[in-house]
Amino acid sequence: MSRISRLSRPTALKIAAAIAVVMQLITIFVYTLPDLIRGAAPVDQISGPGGGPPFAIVLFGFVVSIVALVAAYGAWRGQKWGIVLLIIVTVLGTLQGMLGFLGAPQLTTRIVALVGVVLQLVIIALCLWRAPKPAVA
Amino acid sequence: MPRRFISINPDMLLSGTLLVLILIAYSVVVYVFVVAIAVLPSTAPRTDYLVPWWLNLIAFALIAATLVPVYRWACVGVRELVYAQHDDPYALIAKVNAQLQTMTNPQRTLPALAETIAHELKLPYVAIETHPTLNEKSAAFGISPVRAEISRLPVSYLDQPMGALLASARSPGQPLSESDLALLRDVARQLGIALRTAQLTADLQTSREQLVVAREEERRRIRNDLHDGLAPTLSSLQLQLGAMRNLIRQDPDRAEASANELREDLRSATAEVRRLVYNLRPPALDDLGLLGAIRSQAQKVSQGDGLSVSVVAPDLPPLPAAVEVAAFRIAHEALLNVERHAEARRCVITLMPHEDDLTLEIRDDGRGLPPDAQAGVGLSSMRERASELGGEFAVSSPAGGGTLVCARLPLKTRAEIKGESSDGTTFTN
Repeated sequence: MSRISRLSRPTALKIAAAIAVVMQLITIFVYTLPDLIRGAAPVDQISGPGGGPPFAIVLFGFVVSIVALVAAYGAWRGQKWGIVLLIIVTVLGTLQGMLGFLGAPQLTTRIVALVGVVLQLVIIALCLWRAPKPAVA
Repeated sequence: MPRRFISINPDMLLSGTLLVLILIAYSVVVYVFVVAIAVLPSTAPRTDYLVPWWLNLIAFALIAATLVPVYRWACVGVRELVYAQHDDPYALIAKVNAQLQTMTNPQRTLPALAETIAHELKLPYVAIETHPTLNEKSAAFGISPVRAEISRLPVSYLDQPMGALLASARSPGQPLSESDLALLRDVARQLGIALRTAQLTADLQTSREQLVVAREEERRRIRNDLHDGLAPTLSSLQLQLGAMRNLIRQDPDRAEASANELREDLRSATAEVRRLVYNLRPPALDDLGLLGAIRSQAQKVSQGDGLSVSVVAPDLPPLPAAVEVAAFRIAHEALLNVERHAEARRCVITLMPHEDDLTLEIRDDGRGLPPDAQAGVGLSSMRERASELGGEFAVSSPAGGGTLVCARLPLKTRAEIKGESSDGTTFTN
């Protein structure tokens, strides 16, 4: 039996929570906070070259990140509310990442968005991980 | 017109929402990834993507081909998360324990317990089956969905089966998860202990009642023996004495005849008292000791028609009176059976004292037990004598032929053993 199929549910949840925390911290400190500090851009500059995403999306992303951190804490503790919340915010994050992937100005940003989406799919898969059945003689 | 309320099951709503969100996210991701094959080479930001029709076709075909397996996988995961995720499994165990601790009447507690388990684990059907040897009735709550798998978990205490805990899957084709089963196994363990306790309590109560009944029966028997046998004899003796006193001077010959009658009556009264005393405790045990009493019995039986009885035993240590009486009565009854039914030529009685018990074996070379033998009064009496002391009794036909009666009688009561173990305990601060 491979190692991955022996992964217990609590371990899977801890891994999902850890990935979510790392991703959200990177998102907050690298992308969301600088955009928040920069403030809202004039409407004609929205999504222009180097203009960044619309401020509403930045604000929404920041709130989602904070909620995701709280959800990751719950998932780490193995609480149902935490896992459910983490799935919901990760699904929203996936859709947001898809938008970023399509609308990103540079190839590097697109690749980063792509990696983010893949990791979010991994988080969802780990949140729905089933405990392995015990071996039957 | 009565208002109709639509009841919404929050768990169903949650699982549906999660499932829809996951499937939407999956579809979007697949579509975008397929489209990205055409988009990625372009580095310029675009908002007016013109996706070729064949790429749309490929994306939708891929989604259509994979959506069903993804749906099944997500369905299982979401169901397990919503229904089988137990944030605090010990809460259920604590609740079950609390109910079991207040179990004064298992016939009322077991249905309530089945209901608690069903509610806490969101199971449609839970049943607690009790073993046929227990007096408690089985209990069930809910109805199992059609074709839903029912898991059966044995309920036992040590190696003794006490029953089974039955739990139905929440829906057909969705067996209970491992976390559900682990929790149910814990509950079954608690249930086993509780059922065993209830059984022991009931046994204890029955035993107490039997003791009271036996004591009263014994008192009544002794009272009847004294009232119907000894008391009239003594009254008669008193009357005879009075009559004899009157006759001594008037008619010495009749007085002498009366004195002779009086002596005979006194002899029969003494025999009656001896019989009463023998029923309480065979006097031979006091006169000869257990070994001597059994040897004396063996000698009496050996004087009969061709049966040779020998007694094999080392010197016996002082034994409790109850053990002596039980061993003597069992040996006596077994010897009578050998003499009457076994058609044996030889019989060996073996007494073997151990540290904690006394083993008594009566083996003969007779015709053995018939295949359809049923325990009669004698065998039941021997078994009861052994079990009253917490011992064991067995009768069998060994391979070499004949019959083997075997009894193990503990030399110490449980209270004595407990007292000894507590005496040996040292406490340190």
